[in-house]
Amino acid sequence: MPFYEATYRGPGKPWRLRLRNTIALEGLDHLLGSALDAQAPFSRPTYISLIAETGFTEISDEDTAASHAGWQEFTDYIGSTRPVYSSTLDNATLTTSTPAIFTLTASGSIRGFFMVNNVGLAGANSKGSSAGVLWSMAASDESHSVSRGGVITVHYTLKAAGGHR
Amino acid sequence: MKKKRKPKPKYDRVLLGGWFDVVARERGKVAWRERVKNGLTEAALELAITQLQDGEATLNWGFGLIDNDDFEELAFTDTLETHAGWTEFTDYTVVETGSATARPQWTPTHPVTNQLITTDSASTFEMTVSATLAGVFLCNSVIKSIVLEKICWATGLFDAPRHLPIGGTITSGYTCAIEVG
Repeated sequence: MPFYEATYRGPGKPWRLRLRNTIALEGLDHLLGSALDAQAPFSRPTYISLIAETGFTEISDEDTAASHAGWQEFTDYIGSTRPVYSSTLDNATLTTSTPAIFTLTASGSIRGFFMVNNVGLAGANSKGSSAGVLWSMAASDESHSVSRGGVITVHYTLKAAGGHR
Repeated sequence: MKKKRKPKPKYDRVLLGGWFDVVARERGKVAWRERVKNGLTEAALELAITQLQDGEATLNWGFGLIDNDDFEELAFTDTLETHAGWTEFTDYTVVETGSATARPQWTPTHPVTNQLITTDSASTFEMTVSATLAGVFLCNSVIKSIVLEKICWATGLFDAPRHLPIGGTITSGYTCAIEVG
């Protein structure tokens, strides 16, 4: 799986995570369709957000932006919109050019991250929104504490390769 | 004591792969069939992955044929404009339209389901000369003469060079699948 890399700095114990992610089937279908079938393509920007420890049971490749029964979004960070993820492309690999940065407004616990694109439609950038296409999620084996005023910085890397079937 | 260096973590990839389903006919009867595994080009992978950044819809996919004459090799870096190891075979008309200047069009199923996209309706080459072919490709140009800045999405080689007489036909379908691995 491609991966998320995240750091937490601020009140409390810092942490660093590298999580291999699960790509949503919704995202894979959409990527293939937008490359080959003129389906509404992913558009800039793509958004990253946080998965809360509260209520977490699991992530699933069947999750969608509209439906993810095993997790909910952690939204206690500055701003009404999800941070943007910007990337650069080199040798069929996307790497972060501008990481997603979350400045926290409350203490809590984080379990992971997710990435969503609005595919040219309105709404997927709003915190808590169910709009857009879910691209990927990642969840740690344990929760990670964060405190008000702390900052989480998230990077994402993805590589494509050809395979024969 | 020397600190142990952490190994560079490996990461897996989004994998794209597919195949051509080719049927050749002579005098209306099936002469041979072959499922041809394909190799996606570098340009294809970059097209796919850039959909995540700022996708742009790509339309008008067409099939082409690889001539066995002077065939040397397929390359990951092949584009429709530059493919040093092979030449395109263009001595055909498109049966569905009668065009001698077009490539047969690939019409995909819509929408993508179960991470698979395949052919919705067939398109057929009819040979205007006796042909010996090495393989088949898919590109985003449906006009034979338009190759500049065009992507060769995938190429595939037949198990062995394939012969067709004048009037022989080839119908090709294409299926592409995406997964993580």
